[in-house]
Amino acid sequence: VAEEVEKSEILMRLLRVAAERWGKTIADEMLEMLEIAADAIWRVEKSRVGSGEEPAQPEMIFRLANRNLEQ
Amino acid sequence: LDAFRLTLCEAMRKIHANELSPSDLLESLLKRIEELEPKLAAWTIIDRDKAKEAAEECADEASEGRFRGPLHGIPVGIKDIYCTAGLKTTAGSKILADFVPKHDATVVARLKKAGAIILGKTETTEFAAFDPAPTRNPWNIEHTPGGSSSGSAAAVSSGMIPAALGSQTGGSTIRPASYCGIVGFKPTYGRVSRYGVIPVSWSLDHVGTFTRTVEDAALLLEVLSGYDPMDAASSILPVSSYRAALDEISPPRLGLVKEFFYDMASEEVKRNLVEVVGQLSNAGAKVLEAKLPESFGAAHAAQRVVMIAEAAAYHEETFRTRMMDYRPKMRGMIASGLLIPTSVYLKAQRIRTQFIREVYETLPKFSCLLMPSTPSQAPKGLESTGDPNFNTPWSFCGFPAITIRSGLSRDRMPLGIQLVGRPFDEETLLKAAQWCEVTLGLGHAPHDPE
Repeated sequence: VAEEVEKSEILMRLLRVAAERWGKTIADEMLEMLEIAADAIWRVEKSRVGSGEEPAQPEMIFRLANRNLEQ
Repeated sequence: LDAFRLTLCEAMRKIHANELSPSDLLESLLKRIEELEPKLAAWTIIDRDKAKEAAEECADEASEGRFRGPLHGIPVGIKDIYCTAGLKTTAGSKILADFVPKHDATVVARLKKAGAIILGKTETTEFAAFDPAPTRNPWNIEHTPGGSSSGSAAAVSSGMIPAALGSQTGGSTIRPASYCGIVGFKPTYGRVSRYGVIPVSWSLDHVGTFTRTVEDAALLLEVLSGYDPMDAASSILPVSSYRAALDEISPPRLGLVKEFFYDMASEEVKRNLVEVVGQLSNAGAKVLEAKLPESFGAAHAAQRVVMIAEAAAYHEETFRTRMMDYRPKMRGMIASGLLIPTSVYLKAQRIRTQFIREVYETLPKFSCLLMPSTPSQAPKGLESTGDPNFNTPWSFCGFPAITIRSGLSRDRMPLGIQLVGRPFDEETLLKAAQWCEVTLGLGHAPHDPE
């Protein structure tokens, strides 16, 4: 139940801002995609990630592959 | 034999042996298109006149023993998000309805340099996102062919073209290829240049290919891969001779990922996976269970956050003035992306770092990972392009993935298995895929729609 409340709060926030920017009718039409975004935001926010993890960059997999070649 | 039935490599060998004229091949494909396109709606443009002219030139050169490259005189299809000089590139959108690029995307230029003839542009969902294309599945026209590379998948599956380019940000190559019963291949992020491809999401977009055999996918990779200074994410790592590597294949060591992929699959997909694992094991493959890392749990959501935030950043300026010219799902996606907090986007990218490292640590034990390509067969109806959740994790980490046909459902729709390899080790992945393809022995003939 707590999870649904948290997700719903995120969705309400997105809907409110969307209505302010583009009008209520358009915001309501976007509901399906806003729900998907709200769910993704909620899941990312609640996920744990190691404190040493920096944001990913494309070079990361190049380095991993290089390490593989060296081995 | 009708020439449209030839695979890419078969056509290449026949043309190089002067057993097939590029003009005859083109004529056969155009006839097939004329017959099937009204049912399947796979193409946005067919460049008949230029293709005929190019085929005649290639035929003259071939008769004199001159060949431009391995794809000499072979027509290919290009998803309509790739820039093609002088040929309209609309990305399936009203926004780009009149856009005619001055330059070719790097991969289009590489195809031409290898001798290929650009026959036309194939249908895509709007901006390779969620609003469906009009294309239908050749195996049953009441079903979606998948997306976003809908036209490329349907055209290759039905024999309208031996090979086509697609792309993948989530599941846009592997899913439609599996739904249409062909080989879909997404090389490592950075292996193939994306310069001149209209982006969905810079850090997730991959070039993908559609063919009817693994050997054809290897041939295309040889032509397309390699460093491109015009693509900031292009890798300088060496490119192998992928086709030659397929001369020596042996039973692979497969990491079967049951967690999530088995649990989320339909009963038919589960049954097919069990049968396939049995067949592959009996033929000598070592199939061991592979465990997913902890970060997998957040991978789908994090991929979604990155994709919609980056798509919104790309479209922001146009969206301000032409919001209503976007189709509904695209409009909703851009709007949602503009509302994603920066901290959430960056956390999603940090989850990605952890996910990449953890998947990478799992892979050395195996030649590749094995799982179903999609949770179910192609769904009925054209309003959705199906569920990409079996593919998005591998777009998110950027590791190479390939799908091959693994059987048919009870109502005769294709099912596929997906293999995922180590980054920049497409050679091992293609070898494993070809071994599986040969072992399963399902053939590679184009599908004849009823």
